[in-house]
Amino acid sequence: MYCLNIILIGCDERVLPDLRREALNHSATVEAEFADLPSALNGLESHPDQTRLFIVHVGSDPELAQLKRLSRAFVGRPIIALVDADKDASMVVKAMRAGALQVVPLPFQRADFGAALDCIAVQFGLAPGGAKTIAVAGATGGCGTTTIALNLAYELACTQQVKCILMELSMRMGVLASHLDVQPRYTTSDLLFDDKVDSYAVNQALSTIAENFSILPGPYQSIEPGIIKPDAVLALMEMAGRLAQIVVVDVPCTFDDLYFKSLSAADSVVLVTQQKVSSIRGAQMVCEALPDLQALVVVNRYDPKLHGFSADRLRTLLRCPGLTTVANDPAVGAAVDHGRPLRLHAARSSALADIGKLMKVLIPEEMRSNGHIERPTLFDRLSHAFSFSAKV
Amino acid sequence: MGPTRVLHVEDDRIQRALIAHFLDMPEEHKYVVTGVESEEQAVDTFRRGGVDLVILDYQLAQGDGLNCLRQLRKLDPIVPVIAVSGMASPAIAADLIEAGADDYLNKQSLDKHILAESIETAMARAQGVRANVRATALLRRLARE
Repeated sequence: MYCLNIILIGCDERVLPDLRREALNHSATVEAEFADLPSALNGLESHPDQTRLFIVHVGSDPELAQLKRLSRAFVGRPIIALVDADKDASMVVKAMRAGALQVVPLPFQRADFGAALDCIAVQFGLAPGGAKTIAVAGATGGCGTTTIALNLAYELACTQQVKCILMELSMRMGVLASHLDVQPRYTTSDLLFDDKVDSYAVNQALSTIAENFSILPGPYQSIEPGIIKPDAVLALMEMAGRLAQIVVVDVPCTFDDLYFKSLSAADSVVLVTQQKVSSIRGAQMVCEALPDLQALVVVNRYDPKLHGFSADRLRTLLRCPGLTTVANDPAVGAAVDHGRPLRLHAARSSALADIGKLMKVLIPEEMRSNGHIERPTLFDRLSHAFSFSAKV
Repeated sequence: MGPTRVLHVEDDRIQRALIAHFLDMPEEHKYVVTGVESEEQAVDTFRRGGVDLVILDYQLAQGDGLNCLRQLRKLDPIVPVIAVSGMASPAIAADLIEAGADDYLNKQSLDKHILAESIETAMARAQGVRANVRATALLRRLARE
């Protein structure tokens, strides 16, 4: 996200809602809206060097002249002109001569506008990067997956200032809302049963918990599970990815198609387990079934004194050198009881320190410091999935 | 869905009857239980096929529960195997993990609900993993073609 900052100039209510929506759907941010060009030039004077896309409505010759002024004032900055072509077809050519890189005829059509945006993004090397998706999945039920996902997402948002969305994929009786003591108006089920969902709708459904931190909880008042198509969930993850730098997905331990597809679609997988036979076996089976994922195993509520279950032994057993642990700290349960992230309840918690270490493994320092979250390319993901190497 | 075919490896007649009683759930899920007493019988029966789940006593008079588990795992790495023992300890649990047990239940505290939950978890996991393995194999084959 944040690939494009958009300035809207002279756009009226006929097109503004569509423009705002499509900007969001293309990972772009509407930075400012101006009624006309003179006010835009005044308003933008203080930030002349920022990379921006201008979208200007041009309906008359005076506005064409203003467009020309804009292109000269911001040399090298892309401009999309919205023209009333049905009134005067020559406006299309005139707008291009005045400096527009792309011309979109009105009335507004989503596909056409999207094509213009995509074209500019490619030409200017601003193609959407998308968010990094981290799936946090349980190896068995009840091993604290939601707690890890919640506190990991909160740490990323609040200590690293990374815009983060936490999405709970539980399809019934989700616990995320109660873990934060909130009652969000919308849940994933509101979006998953709507065929026309886009990033704009996802954005409207998010509940903001703190700066940089929003959630999309699972249905927390519903007992009956809905039938969800995994592809709809993957599309939802993709759309959320256009609205944040990191999407943390809390994947319930169902071992069904949705479980495996969600893990396969993520850029990183955190597999939460605990020191119990069933849970370790679950982690082992996931690691073996999906070796290409290279899941990072986290032993939650870790007790270093439990014979036969030491981190070293589990690292060897699960063939996971990166296995980490989260301390068995009563503060975690207390924070849940108070409906707060661990940092707000017990900032010095040993479990929180462990989650901080996990965060650093998932998002290395250089990525965090420059604000750019590296995401595998399509080729990386394909070669990863089919285990062939790009190196000759 | 058909009944779940359970192979119960246990040399104690009373324990066999107890597990059979726990698995007798006419209102819920149907289990068909085959009881064997030794490691050798267990491996032979399993090799013949038609086993969806194994309940295995850790301490067998004839043979060794751990060794039996290792042999079963060589034949099928995914089939759920739930180990039970009269004497539960972390050391035994650690050995069982290494040999590939799906769960480890203490006979002292075993009841119908604990057993049912353990079976349900292990079966769902095994079915999911098998389906995923099949799907991945298909994808790989398609990619090669």
